[in-house]
Amino acid sequence: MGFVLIVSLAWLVLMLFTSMNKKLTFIENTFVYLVALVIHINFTWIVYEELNMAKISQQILDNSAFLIHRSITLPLTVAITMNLFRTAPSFGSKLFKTTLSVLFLVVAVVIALYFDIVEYKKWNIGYEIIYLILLHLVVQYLLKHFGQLKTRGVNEA
Amino acid sequence: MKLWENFGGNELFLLITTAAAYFVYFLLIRRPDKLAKQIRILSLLWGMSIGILYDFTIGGGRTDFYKINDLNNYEVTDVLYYLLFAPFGYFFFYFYEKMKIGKKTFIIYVLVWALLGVFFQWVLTAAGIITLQKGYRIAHSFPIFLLTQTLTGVYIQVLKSKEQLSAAE
Repeated sequence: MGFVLIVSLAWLVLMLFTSMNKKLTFIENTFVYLVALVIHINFTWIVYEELNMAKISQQILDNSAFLIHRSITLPLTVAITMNLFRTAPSFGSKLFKTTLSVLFLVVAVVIALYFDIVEYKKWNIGYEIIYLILLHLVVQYLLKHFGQLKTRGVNEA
Repeated sequence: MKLWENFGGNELFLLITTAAAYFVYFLLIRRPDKLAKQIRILSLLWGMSIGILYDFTIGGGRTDFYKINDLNNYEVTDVLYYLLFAPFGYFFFYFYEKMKIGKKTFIIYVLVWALLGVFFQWVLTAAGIITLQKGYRIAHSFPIFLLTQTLTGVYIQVLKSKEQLSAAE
């Protein structure tokens, strides 16, 4: 059942991303997706495999659910949030959108925990929330600099 | 996480290969037909991401088909290995644009890159940087490279319809 729910979430995020009115350019969306993917893969490997703070199920469907969440749901959720940031009129609005995004990802983690897709040992939801907030901040910071590369290029020309 | 198990031939080979790849990359971005800055950064990130995605999906975890360097664990020298993928991302994008790959040349371009990928993996295996395990063979990487390079080519085609790849300088 965990597999079904996690795949459904991935499908939902994929559909939302495809159908939304994107404010980032095609190349910026790719950048956000890849940056979030690289950070999250390294983060999960270090926390789960190297530091043994959590455990991933070795059961084939559950393991696949973990990989689907890691490679599709999380980076695309961050990409959707970064698109929504562009229309955020204030800091409070950005904070609200980040909170919603983190909350959605926490729900996915709670599903994974409930169905034993992952098992926390020395890790907890609090740490996960801190990590997810930091991830949003880092991606936003990198995107800002990536966007400026084009502006600079135009000015130079 | 270790720096390395023991600094031997594989680490040295990796250092030299990575340095050589970046040397070629820096030569290419000095050329007037270089790619635009955003495309350049994206191509580097693209190359590195694909390396990381495959290694942490089939090279590690449940399947664990191969190990990088001396350990199944994450070594700092593994980062060098992932950094090696980045300039190849640029090379793929650069030559795609430079050679004006289109509908007629797409298949050949992708096939050559897939074969190059398999050859390069064979070199890395011979140098002891990659150790195949659990019945995984180099030939199994061919369809993976084929799929990856095809997706990259399709992505570049879509990107070209939206952005100018070459730097406007």
